Amino acid sequence: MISKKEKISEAIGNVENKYIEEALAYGRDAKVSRFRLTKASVACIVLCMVSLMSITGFAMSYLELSWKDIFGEEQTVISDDDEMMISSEHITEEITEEDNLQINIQKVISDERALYILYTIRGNKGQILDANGRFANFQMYFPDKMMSGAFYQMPLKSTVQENINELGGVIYADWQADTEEQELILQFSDWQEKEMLAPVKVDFDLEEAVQNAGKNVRLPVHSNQWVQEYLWQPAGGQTELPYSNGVFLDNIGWEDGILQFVLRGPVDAWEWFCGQNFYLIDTRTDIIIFPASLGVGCTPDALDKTIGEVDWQYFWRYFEVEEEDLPFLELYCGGKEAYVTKVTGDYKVIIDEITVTMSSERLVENIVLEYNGAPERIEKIECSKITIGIYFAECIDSSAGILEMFEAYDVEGNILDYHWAYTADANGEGSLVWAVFDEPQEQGTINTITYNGEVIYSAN
Amino acid sequence: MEDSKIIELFFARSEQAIVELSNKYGKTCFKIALNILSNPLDAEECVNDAYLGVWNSIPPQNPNPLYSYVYRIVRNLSIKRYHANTAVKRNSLYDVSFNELEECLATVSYIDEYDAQELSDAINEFLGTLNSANRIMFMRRYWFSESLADIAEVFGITEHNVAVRLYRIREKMRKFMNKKGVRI
Repeated sequence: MISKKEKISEAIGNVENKYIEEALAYGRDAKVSRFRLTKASVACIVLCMVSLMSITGFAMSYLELSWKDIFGEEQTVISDDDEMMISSEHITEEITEEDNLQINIQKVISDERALYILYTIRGNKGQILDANGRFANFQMYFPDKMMSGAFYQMPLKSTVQENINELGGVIYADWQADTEEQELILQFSDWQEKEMLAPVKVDFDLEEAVQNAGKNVRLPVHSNQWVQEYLWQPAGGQTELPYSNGVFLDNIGWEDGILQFVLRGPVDAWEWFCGQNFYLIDTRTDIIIFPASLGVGCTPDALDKTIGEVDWQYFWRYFEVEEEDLPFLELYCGGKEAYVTKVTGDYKVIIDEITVTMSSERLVENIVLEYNGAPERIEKIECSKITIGIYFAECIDSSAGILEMFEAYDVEGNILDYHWAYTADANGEGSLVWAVFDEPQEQGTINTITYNGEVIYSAN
Repeated sequence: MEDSKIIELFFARSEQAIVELSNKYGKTCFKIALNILSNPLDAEECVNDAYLGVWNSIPPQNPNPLYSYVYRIVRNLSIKRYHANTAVKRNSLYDVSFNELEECLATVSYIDEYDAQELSDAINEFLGTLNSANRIMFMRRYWFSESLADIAEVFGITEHNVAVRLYRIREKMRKFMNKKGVRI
């Protein structure tokens, strides 16, 4: 079956000639382009920025984001009255384990169902931050409250003028707002950027290691239990794999065409264990052999109950190779792009008073409709500038296609751009089917809402 | 030599046509193949195979422009060779650039329902929405599989800047593709 990558590759290969010609012509005719800055002008910019930094200090942010940076230049729906500007008086505590980054929460908009937060990050030591980077870990939560939905980072529009060491960001979250103000905690740790890692040969004689390991050194337990027929015995090997941040080749063994690696490393190194981060090269043919996609891992107490809880684990991966190949195989790491921590530190921001900044208006209430063969009562349908909310009196089964059944139209009969979601109420007594608009809409834009093609709300 | 003269040589079945084709477009052909295969010997073989493909197809074909015709053949043969290898070479620029796109389109689930031509049409449409600079950058990265460094050199900007702009182009593409998938 053709892979998605192959299909994309083939499709791009078939694009129109004019685009190929345009790309070629640019390289041929415009080698020195208008985008080029002279070294002198770059130096000037750097000098200017250094001067500016020394005047304004680190406490201020250069980059002022607006809602146009996520919704687009045409956005005029969200006004100053709809947003909450976050200043130092809203932040009760800022904890930074290392003072390498400054995280500046700028603005919030929210209704009863959705929340957007605009923020910037900047390097306090002049670090250049890559917009493709990410935090190794990001968490947000309302203390003592169940987080009702998803949260994630969204991209900004390409028109945002980011500085070389300051980036803008936007966090989107589903929430079920209280009538009272809520405390919100945001936690970020370790800024990472993608880097092409050079291939590094591991100083390791595969054939010798296999001979030393002997044969049939199987774990007495766990044979025939997991994806592999058996698991090889750990042996405490001390060869650390490059780029792994503490993953060791613990043991290695070969039997019946399977070369099995026992790895040992931190419990939070799953991503590294599971990826294609190490591989063999057959020196006769230069063919690269990656480990099979299946693997298995466990903490040591799963093997030996006398071992208490520890912060490291074992992981088993295997290669399909023949015994006679072993003398010609070399072990490598790298040769691919990977996220590498560039700026360390844990950052925690506590915002005191998050509340609804733009309230919804009620469009209709008490409607009974049939869903999944039974009558269901909608308590109310609400709408704000950013979402529509349909509140069911009972908790309904979302798997019977409820999300595809609602549609909303403007006065001209155009369907509105949005994506639907479903949330069960925290107390299990009701549920919410709701839509987030791709672009904010003026209240009153919704003219009609249909369910299964039948109108359940009309403004007329 | 002008393209029309080279094509005349092909029509006359003169082997000088290959020499002239190679003199004029050989360097770029080799770079396209090398970007994809990361192996000079494989790249050279693919370029030679492409010349043979051109020899066998002209006549009856009379492509205009000649270079995009040749480059397409080189690219297609290189990709075929790439997939024919028993293992994927992870440090190939081709692999890196398409991993970026695959990641970008990972959430576009209906892509499996499209055949490559339908997808091409959608990509053509998407390219039409980009400004010229962004479109050129996209093509150089994903058609010619050029490295960030090479693109940065052509545009006179930093690699970082290229990476940022490509990221935004991919985000636009993801959004565009998702919108195409909306069934009303």
